[in-house]
Amino acid sequence: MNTDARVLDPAGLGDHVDRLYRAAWALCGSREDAEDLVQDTFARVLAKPRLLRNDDDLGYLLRVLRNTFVSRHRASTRRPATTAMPEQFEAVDHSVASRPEAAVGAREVFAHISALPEVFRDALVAVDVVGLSYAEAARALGTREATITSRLYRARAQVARGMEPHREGVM
Amino acid sequence: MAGTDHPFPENDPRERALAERGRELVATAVAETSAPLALRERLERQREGARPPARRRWLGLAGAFAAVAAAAVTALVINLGGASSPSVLATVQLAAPGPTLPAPNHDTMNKALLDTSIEGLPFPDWNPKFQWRAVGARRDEIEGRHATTVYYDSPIGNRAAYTILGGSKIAVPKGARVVKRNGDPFYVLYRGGQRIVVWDRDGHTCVMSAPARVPEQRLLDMAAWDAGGNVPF
Repeated sequence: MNTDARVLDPAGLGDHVDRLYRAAWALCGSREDAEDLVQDTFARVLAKPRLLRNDDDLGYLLRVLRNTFVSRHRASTRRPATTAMPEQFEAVDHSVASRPEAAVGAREVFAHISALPEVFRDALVAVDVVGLSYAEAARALGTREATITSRLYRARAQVARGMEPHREGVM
Repeated sequence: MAGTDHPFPENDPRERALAERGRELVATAVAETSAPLALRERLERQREGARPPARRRWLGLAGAFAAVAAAAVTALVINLGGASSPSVLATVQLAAPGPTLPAPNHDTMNKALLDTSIEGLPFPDWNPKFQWRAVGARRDEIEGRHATTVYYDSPIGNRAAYTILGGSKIAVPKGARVVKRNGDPFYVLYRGGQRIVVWDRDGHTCVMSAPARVPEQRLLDMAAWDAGGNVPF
């Protein structure tokens, strides 16, 4: 029997909203989808008491977020495609509204992360976006630390490579 | 996964530089991104709406009588206006777009006040005491209530938005920390890079938000300042 098991405290969920939102944005590539994904994740977590074993809250929440993302993605591929909302109707994000250049930069970076191959993207989201250690990321993603290291290295390089043409245009 | 986990080319200086550049880009994007207040607001409601199982069981056991009684209580709350109260975070969000009205003038009869008020409750003039100057204002409506916000700028360019809600006071978000000043409770919380102080003046809820770099003590000093009784509480 594992004596480390404990129930996730819903009152502490608010402490992780920023990290989950960033992770969701990096997975979806869109702020609007990211908000929906975080809400769906919270709904799943709050649906019943959650028993955590050998898990930190954040690692567990990242796993639920990723599973919810995968489920939504599968469901969306079964639905008829809908027209995307035009860019000019994008909701104002007050958290970066006073720094438009920051909003554009973050949007580009998260879009590039979301376009990475799945295993690279997951490693980068877990370590660089959410802030898990390599060991925590390996546990959350069910792989080895060495694998996380390798994937993270390639993911970072691919993000930088993807951003290069944009930077040449503005520098 | 096969085909994706080759030995990584650490010895390639260009790849190394790219990986480092990618790490920096992601770190910058992460540092500049926080969850929108509107999302936090929805999540908070979601969490508060998730009732513990024990309560659901009680409701089930109590049967129809309990359900009818609960419905009656709900109706009473709605009639009293409780169910239509805006939240503190929604009130903070009102101020986010910035001022739409010019800065209020000083109250010529009372140096501690500005000449703008809501439902008879005036805003303080923090310039003489704290050097935070009123620079603009806005009026909004939320959940059927009026709300007036005055914006104050510090000498080094920090901005605080001070909103007074019309109507009776509203609930303070769970998790807010309580600090006593002059015997009165002030509630402090941190959301989306903003430090938020909530307090009560003459039965109205006051909400002040400012960037988290503004010291909490400064915000509390201003919020609690009554100018020797010249700012009504």
